Amino acid sequence: MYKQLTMLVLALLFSAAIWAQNRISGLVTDASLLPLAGATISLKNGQALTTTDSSGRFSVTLNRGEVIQVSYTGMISRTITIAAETSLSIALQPSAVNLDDVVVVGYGATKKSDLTGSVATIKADELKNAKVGTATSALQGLAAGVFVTTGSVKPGGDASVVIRGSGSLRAGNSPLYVVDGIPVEGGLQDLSPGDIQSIEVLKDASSAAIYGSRGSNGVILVTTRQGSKGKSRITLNLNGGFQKMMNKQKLMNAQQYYQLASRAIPDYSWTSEELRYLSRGLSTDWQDAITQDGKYSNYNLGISGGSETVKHFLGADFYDQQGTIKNSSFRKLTLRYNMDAQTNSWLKTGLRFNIIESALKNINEEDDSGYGTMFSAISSQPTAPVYLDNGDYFDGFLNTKANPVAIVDLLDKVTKKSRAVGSVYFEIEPVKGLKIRSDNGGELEFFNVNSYEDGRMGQHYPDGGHAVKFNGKKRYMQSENTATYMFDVNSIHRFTILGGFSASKYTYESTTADSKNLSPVLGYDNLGGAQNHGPNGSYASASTLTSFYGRLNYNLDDRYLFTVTMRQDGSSRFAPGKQWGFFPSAAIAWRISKEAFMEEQDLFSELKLRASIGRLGNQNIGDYAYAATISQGGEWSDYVFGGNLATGSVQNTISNPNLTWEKANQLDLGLDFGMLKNRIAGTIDVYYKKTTDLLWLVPLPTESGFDNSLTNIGQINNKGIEFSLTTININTKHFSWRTSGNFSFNDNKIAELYNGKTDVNKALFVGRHMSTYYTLQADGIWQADELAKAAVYNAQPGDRKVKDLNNDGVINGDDRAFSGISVPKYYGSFTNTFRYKGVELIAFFTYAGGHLINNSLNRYLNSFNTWGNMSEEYYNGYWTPARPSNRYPAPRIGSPYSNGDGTNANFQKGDYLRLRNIELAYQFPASSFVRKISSSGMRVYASVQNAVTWTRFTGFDVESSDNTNPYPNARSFIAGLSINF
Amino acid sequence: MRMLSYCGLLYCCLFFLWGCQKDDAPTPVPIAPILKEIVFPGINDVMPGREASIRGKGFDQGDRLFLENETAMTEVQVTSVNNQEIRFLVPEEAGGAYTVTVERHELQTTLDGELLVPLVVVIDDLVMPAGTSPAGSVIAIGGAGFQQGDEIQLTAPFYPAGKIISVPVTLTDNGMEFLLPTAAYGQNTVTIVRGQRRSTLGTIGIEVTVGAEIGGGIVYYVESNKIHGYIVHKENLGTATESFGPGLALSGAVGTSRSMGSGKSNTAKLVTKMAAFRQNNNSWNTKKAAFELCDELTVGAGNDSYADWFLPSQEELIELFKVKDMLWSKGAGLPANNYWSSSEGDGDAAGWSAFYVNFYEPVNIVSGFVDKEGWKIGIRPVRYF
Repeated sequence: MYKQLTMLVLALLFSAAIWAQNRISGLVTDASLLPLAGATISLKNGQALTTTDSSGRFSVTLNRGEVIQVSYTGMISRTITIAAETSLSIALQPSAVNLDDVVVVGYGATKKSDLTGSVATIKADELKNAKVGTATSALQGLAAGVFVTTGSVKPGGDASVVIRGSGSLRAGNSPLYVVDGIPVEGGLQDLSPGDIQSIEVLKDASSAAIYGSRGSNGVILVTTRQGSKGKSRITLNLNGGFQKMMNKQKLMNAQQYYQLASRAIPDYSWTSEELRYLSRGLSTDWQDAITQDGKYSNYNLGISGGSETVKHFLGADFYDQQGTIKNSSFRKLTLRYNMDAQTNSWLKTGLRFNIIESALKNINEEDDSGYGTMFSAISSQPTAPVYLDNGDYFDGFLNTKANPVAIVDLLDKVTKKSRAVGSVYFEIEPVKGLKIRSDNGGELEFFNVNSYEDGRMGQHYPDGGHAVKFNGKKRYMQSENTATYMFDVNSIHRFTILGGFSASKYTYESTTADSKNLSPVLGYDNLGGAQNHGPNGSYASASTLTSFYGRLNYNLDDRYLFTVTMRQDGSSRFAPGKQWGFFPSAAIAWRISKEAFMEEQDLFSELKLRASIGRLGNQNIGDYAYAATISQGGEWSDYVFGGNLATGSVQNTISNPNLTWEKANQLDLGLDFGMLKNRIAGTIDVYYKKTTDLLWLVPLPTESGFDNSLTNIGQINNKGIEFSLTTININTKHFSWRTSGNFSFNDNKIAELYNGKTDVNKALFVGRHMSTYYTLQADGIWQADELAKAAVYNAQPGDRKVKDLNNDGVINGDDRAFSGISVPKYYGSFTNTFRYKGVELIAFFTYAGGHLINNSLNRYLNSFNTWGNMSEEYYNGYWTPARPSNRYPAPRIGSPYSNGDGTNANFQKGDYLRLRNIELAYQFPASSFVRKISSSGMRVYASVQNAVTWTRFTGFDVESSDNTNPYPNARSFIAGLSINF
Repeated sequence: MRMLSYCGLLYCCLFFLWGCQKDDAPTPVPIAPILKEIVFPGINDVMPGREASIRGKGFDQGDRLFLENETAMTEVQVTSVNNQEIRFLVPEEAGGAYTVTVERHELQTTLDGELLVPLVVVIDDLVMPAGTSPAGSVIAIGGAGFQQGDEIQLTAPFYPAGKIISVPVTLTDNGMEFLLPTAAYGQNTVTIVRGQRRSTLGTIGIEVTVGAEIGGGIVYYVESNKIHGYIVHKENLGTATESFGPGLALSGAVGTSRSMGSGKSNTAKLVTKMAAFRQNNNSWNTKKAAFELCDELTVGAGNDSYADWFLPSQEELIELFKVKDMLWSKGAGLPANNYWSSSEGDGDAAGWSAFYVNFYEPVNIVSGFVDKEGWKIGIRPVRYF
């Protein structure tokens, strides 16, 4: 009994002791309130208490008043004093930089802190600023030195990327895209942004040299999502919205057009339909007639999970966009499966598999953009009705000879693509630290472009209809085999040695069938029923690339980092004897912050100085470019023999067996820094890139029988500075404010051409930017009191005045002058992210400037033309004796330089600042009602894309590559839901 | 938190308002019709009560059309419109010059130019009499549109200048009829007159017989159709010894003919030549040539006077010879003499000679060519109807 009483007292005492402590449970999440598994809960003295489970939850027993620290890699640690609460909800904000982040580099990965080259990392979250568009366009503004232009914002349209300035005249300036180790042609348009885990941009020679002959324009490495061990995770992202066309051009209405045309052309030939339309007070707004509010939706499902031995990810993505031009659309279905399995202790295997099915509908991209849908709408006279009284399409257009509405109604053009990309790898580790890996994969792509142009679309199109069927097939296979050995000596000297070889083959074939006069019902599905056939054609090509490469990384005590990379490529695209190229590079980095003399300071948490130098190549010269090619058949080759047409052959290019790679020699100096415990972090890079052996079609003497020869000539230099900065401005318990941004400046100059030439066709100039304008100088309008002077130049008051720079009384090519450049000198972005509890506000701006855009649309809109409509501004501002405008010439037929061609009259500043995304979101925490549906978090948001653009450019879009017939950009209003299970 | 909620709400409102805003299309304001390249029909293409067309661009279905003259503006019925023209019904009472106004949406545009509507009588299904009709008979003309009070006017080129024979008409079930007046002969043009309106209906043939005393003389020859022939003056001209005219070299010949139907043109040619001759010669200043006497002859008959006489050709004169006895019975006999024809001599003799017909002969036809100036013989003018 005594014993029992004693036990009871002890138990009570123990219980009292326990009750003096608090049992604290908590949830640790990231800034988006998604649970963080593995976060460390420790006492202030560093004693670890526990870590969060896969749901981000933890439970500890603590005394009131004790102070704990919650930390997680890449996050700013939070310190919490235990009070009366028994439940904690702790959201960690990411630090401005995470030095422990794993950065993928070619054929391997390394910690960010160990990088010696200039590599920009883009996380999947950052891609979310771009809802509509491709993964390529989503890169805009996310990395310094990476200039992304959304040249066409059509549904399915991709962006173009130039890294550190253009260095090639003819071999292309696009970087090499590598997705999970497989090179991808033409950007990331087929990739679902939801499948992306991270993107690394290899910008300098050291980081890109491992890709040798394909790396001169930089490399973009994409790593798709992979599973992780632990609890399975399901992510579902649903978003959709609508789009409104931006920058609709203000054009004259029918009445204004009638007045102006009647004034300029008294015997203007009106049609009865137009005259009736006018008297009814009607006017056709062709832009409205062919456009609509676009619709957009994207559904992305990701299922990931894994165990100790197997990790997997399954992704499904459906993208559907109805364009702002009627009847244009893009649909894409993407399925991805990634799997990694540790088969046994020494063998690891895995696969990456991705299939894409897409269909792009009715984007009318005429070779001559003057016949495209949008330009048809711009230039069609507003006096023209859409339909005749009998319901037929009006067909009396001045310029394009096509009815824009008929085009969008009747054009049947579908581009379908089916693509499968996959790879399988085997990796063995026979001895510790040595990994031998064989990664074999490829890509198979089928695509076809079917088009049927109905004769009712207008005079421009054949009466009986015109169908074209284009089928193409691409096949790419590669084998990458590497051995990587990692070891250290005394834990101070750490080495990573990589060696490998690869072989790849690319084949391409296509067929084109062209028929006219055929059934509009069956169209391209029954070309055999056509009355006329041809021209038909087919094409095939192949190329191979064999490579040997190696890389040595040496890390001395985490302070001094050295990298030497080399690659030797053998490409079939060059003549025997010129097929092999060697591309070496070296880099060094000094982590100053790791030096002893830095230990006493708190300002810099990271400071690293980098330097790299190397050579890269560009083999994008096309297949068989070095060889003399024979053209067989066709009007230039066939001949008449015995009264019959016989198929002939003719050599159409001259061979150049000395043709070789374009070579980019690049020097990079960089500084990475992190300050105030990485609340401020950034990178500064300066670079100098010298590209030599540029490919150019050098003119040949006529006696040679050829116009020109593809030859390596000249040199282009790019130099620039890049700056990126991320700051955590405010980080309190409930509120945080994070700012990140980047700035890039690039200066491009042609250093040398050929044969001592200082210019080529007055288009390329030594000492000038390769995108320099060299034009006549518009100088306003001749005024009434300048009658005599204007007459000297065969002009009249009201005509456009052009500067006679050499004062010889004649305006000709000798009066041209340099008039700016067409590509931005500087560009970048900045983002502000505000979070208050679960509410998040993101404002993402992009900008560019220092360039001029030749707004070619204004050559039609801002001068009188007999081809179609003009701007309302021109109507209200053209020169008359009573209204002596100095901007817009009088509406006079034959007025010289009226439309500004050959002058800088239509050049406009391309500087812009765009609020590309403003987004308001609310993150329901895991502890909220979402638990009832077994969700670990849910985020709802509303976003406006391209909300505001500040620019002086007046065309459809300041970023568009085609200003005459652009696909108009849109302001997108999107709402979305992301939910995790 | 509340403020944050308000901000979120405001954002969402702006989100949808911004996205949903839509430009309001301006309400169309019609303007007066714009009509281009207008071409009015010629007066001969317009008929009262008939459809007419104004060519041009810009006409519309539903357009109203008004014709306006000094007295009134009248809406006309538009029958059809297409991209090239507007067609409309010309009012039956229309006639004269009109401005044309097009009205659409109660807005009007007056066309440049005038619509000219002829003052005509419109007769549908007109049936003119076939063949010829005896003098003094009733002429029936079929057709619709004749009205009480209409009047028929008969005219012929061989009637004295300005002579119109007006005849009242009687309406019949099939049209109308009228009685041929005795003064009418030969082929006549029939014109219907109604007030200021008049329309030519066609021609009728009124039979003529040899020996009839009409047209200022005696009919001495009728063609087989009985509506054309020759009338001879009742008397000779000049003396019985008149020269033909000046005798000339071959180059002075005018290219006359001897055939039937050529006398009038022969005379005209000779008169023209004679006028030229007189400018350079004064030998004939005091005397007239035979053909001049005929050409200048005017014969009165009642209220009429006939001035279309000519010197007959050889064959026309021979036909006169053939009925000389009949002419004596009518008091228009030709005294025995040789008579000049208007036919010059053959071949190289054309300049100095002309044909005559011997009226001394009782039966035999004797004709030859003789010196124009040296021979002096008789002249008998004739006229043709």
